[in-house]
Amino acid sequence: MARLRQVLGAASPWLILIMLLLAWQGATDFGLADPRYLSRPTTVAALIWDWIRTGFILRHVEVTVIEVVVGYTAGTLAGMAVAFGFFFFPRVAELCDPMVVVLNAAPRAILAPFAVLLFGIGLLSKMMLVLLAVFAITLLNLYTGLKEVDRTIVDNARVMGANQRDLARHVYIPAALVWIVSAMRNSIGHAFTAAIVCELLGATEGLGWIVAAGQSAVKPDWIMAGLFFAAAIVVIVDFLVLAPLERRGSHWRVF
Amino acid sequence: MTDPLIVLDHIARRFPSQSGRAEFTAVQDIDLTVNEGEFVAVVGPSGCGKSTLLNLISGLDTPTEGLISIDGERVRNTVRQDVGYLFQKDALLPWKTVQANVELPLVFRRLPGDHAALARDWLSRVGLSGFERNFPHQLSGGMRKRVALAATFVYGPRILLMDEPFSALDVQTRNLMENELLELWRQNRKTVLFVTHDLEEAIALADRVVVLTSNPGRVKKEFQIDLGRPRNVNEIRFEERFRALHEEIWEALREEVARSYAAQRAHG
Ligand SMILES: Nc1ncnc2c1ncn2[C@@H]1O[C@H](COP(=O)(O)OP(=O)(O)O)[C@@H](O)[C@H]1O
Ligand SMILES: [Mg+2]
Repeated sequence: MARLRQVLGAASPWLILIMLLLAWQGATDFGLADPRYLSRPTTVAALIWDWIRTGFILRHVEVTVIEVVVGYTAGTLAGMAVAFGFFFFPRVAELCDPMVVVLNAAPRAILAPFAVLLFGIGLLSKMMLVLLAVFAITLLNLYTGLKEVDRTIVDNARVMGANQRDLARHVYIPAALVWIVSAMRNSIGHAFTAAIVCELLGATEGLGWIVAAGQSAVKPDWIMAGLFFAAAIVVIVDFLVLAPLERRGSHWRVF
Repeated sequence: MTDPLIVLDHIARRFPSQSGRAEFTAVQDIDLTVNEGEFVAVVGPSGCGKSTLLNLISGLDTPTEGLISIDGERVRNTVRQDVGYLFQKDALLPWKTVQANVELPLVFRRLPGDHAALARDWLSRVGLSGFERNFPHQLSGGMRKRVALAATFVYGPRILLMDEPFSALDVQTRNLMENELLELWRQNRKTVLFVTHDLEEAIALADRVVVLTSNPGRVKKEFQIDLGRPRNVNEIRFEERFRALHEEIWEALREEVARSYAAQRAHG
């Protein structure tokens, strides 16, 4: 048992992934699972390639990415503004506290049908849902972060002569950057989830629409391939943009 | 004789209670005076209110009772501009270079002059030339303390408050820094209030040692340190007079340390 755990622990995650794919392929090939409902890795891979080759997927990726980019940007900015507002005006924060708790605790996906009703089946409803999710995450991350800025650092700056504006500029805003970047990393996955959930419910294009179409037409390969593209985009954005951004800031992330 | 520079008149600091218990008294009935140019060390068991005392004098905190004045002027609700404060914990801005950290007080105070040159000068005086572009986390604990020292001396505060500044350092670095501090002090003759829980350090550095009681902190006894200067902290420990003073002051301190230890055990 210990040996097994050791071997598994040492094996690269990629190996596990390949094993899972092989198991899946084997199960469907040897009749252990029904490919009509589960599809097969080879079928899904062929479909993915086909969509790339014909350019079919482009439009759908584009739609989902636009929804996410707009909602994510607006949500991050709104979250930052409100977090700073709460921090510098604690009275306001006190008044809004119950709302923030609800915003954070309530499963926001529930609002998806509401968003579709209110803003239609176009891109706007998805953008609004993304905005809300990203806003909540950014607000909480940043507000908590600002409140936890090291007391000694603030006291030291005050003794050295900093006024409120100096503190904001030289202490709170740089400290906040760390939290903003971490919130941005945190919320990118949630942003895609929000967009796709909303597309599942009512849309005419987008990755979520592909998944929903696959479901209603009983085409599991469509669902799998749609999920693949959604996951791929998140990984690429995180790998190419957010992780390097966080690493750049990390040279002074020693509090 | 001239008036003392710092006067603490019967001060107390109570903190509102957590979880509904009676309010907590950190320090009480503190009477203390410090003369201009004097080096005073405050010793006492941990938790007896030493940091609280420095916060009160710096104006970061306000006493619940009593009066603090510096140079005849009452301290209240504002941070003193003529005070430098070296904290026990690291307080450098982690996102600024060493050079920028030392320039910062000059920027905050809107002081005229060549900030960059002044900062470089003080960095070289604490032996950190060549580290200007490093970030704090790239330096050792001792080097970070030197940066903090430079950032304090650079704006020329009249009073220096130091809160166990060297307690986190290894013994060698610590002795080195203690000697450097004495040398800087010899050149600048600031008024120093140096808090420590290390009696040897207190005696080696100070003109006078103030012993506080365990919580709530009061002044238990004061001792004049009649050792010559300049001093070398590594050597002075072996002098006869040092040993005698140590014995005498430890007599007063020991009880308080024991009481504080017992109180901590009682609270789990
Ligand atoms: N802001 C505060 N609120 C409540 N209690 C405090 C606060 N600051 C200090 N204390 C308490 O006051 C006592 C003295 O603290 P401190 O001055 O830090 O002691 P020392 O520096 O001598 O170790 C401690 O018991 C501490 O818990
Ligand atoms: Mg302390």
